Amino acid sequence: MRAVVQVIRNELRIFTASDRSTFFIYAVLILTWSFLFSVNTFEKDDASVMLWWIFFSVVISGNFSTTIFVLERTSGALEVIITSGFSRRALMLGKILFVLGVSIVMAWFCIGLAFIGRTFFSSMLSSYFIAPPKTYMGLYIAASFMNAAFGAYFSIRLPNPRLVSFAAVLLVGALVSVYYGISAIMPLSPWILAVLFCAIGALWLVLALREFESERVTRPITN
Amino acid sequence: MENAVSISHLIKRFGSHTVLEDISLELAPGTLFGLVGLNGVGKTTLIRLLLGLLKPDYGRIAVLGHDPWRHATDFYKQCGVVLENDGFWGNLTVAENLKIFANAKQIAWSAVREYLDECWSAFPFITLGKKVKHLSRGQRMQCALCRAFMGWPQVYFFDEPTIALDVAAYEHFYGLMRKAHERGGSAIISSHQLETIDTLCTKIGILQNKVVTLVSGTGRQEGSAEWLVAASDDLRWGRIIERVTGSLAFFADGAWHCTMDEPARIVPELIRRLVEAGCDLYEFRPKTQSLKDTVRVFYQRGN
Repeated sequence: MRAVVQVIRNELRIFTASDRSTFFIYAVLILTWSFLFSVNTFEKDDASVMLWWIFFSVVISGNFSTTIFVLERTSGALEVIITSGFSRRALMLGKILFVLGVSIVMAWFCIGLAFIGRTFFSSMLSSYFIAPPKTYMGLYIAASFMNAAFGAYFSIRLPNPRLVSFAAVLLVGALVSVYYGISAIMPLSPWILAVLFCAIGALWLVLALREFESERVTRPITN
Repeated sequence: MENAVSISHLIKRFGSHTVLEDISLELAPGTLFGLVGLNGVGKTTLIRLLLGLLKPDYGRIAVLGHDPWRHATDFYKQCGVVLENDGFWGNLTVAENLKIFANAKQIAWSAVREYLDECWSAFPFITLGKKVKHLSRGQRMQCALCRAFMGWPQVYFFDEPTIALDVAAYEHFYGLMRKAHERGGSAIISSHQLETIDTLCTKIGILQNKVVTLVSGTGRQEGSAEWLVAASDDLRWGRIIERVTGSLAFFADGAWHCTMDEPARIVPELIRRLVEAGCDLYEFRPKTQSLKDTVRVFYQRGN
């Protein structure tokens, strides 16, 4: 547990030392999404709201997974840190928890900004701020978990790991399409989708744990 | 006492391609082992196997009594490593990078500071507040060496450790390696820079055709040695040399070549006889075969 906390702290240190351009991009991203949430989503309980949340999770956690899992692997940092005494399991769990934590923080930033925008422009908008339904936050966290575990596993399994975030979009897109397809026939609670995300995330997590113990994780990437 | 490294019948394949075939090697504690070989023969693979980054297909590896493939964190805390990639985060400062690795090895930062003051104060780039991305390649390599010696581990794995180092850094590395050796440290150093291997290592192995063959380095040959007598090509000198040394003498590359078993006795006698005969002798020295020569001959035989 101590090693996992250490890994999370390291990741935080590495993230906070990023270039200013990185923070600028995230700031723009948060602003954009908060605007979307602010003007059209909170008071509604329809499919578009849910999709915005899920898509946001793909963008954030997919991007962080690429940085944390893929770039560290391709740069050779991962094998050096493995040989310095961090357990492979602690490394993987710490990284997944960091991605999940950052995703949640980013979401709250968005909600906070949306709340401010909503209050500020209330005269121009049709209604006041309504807190996002718990369902969507649950769905967002479940999707972030799945994407983080997906990143951990496929950063090792994909022949070209740089495609991880693209593959995550495809996976989430496929799952959401299936969900909407079934919903068209019989109404399904969004919680079902959240549970599905969690189940698939748990599967990726188990597989990623196995991969991190294998030699594939430290094999050089040739393409 | 347990061997630093013990390899028994090691085989490593990548798919159908066998990289290492039935390698056995024992390195006693304190051995500085130099591993040389052509590009792509499997030196890095062997080091990665010893570090538990790759899994052997067959055979047994023990480093300080540990099976590296078990990935025990305690094992890694006793290792100092320099691999092909330095593994630093460019946006972090030297200090922040070192702190991460010191934490992983559970070395107190005060101990690291003490080590830096003691061993790295002459190297100004170890200004701890400088971002690693602003360092040159050679400086990054020095940082990697600095990290490897941090905490004076028991066994070192160096894959091309002297690449991009300037003369001062090169000598500093030698000093650190000797210091580590005095503390009982062992090392496996893979390098194409044979001078590094020849100067530092107490045991040398050439990896070729999937196996490691132990060889001797400069001045380590046993038995009769070849000597060079630099003089004119007058046949009289050749006859004197043959008479005194009891060996066949031949003239090549501006010097007479001969062999002798007891140089302490024969050399003064030979010099006296040649000078008495009127030979203008201007150089007399043993022809030491460099590690480079040994390795070159080995490659030629192997191919």
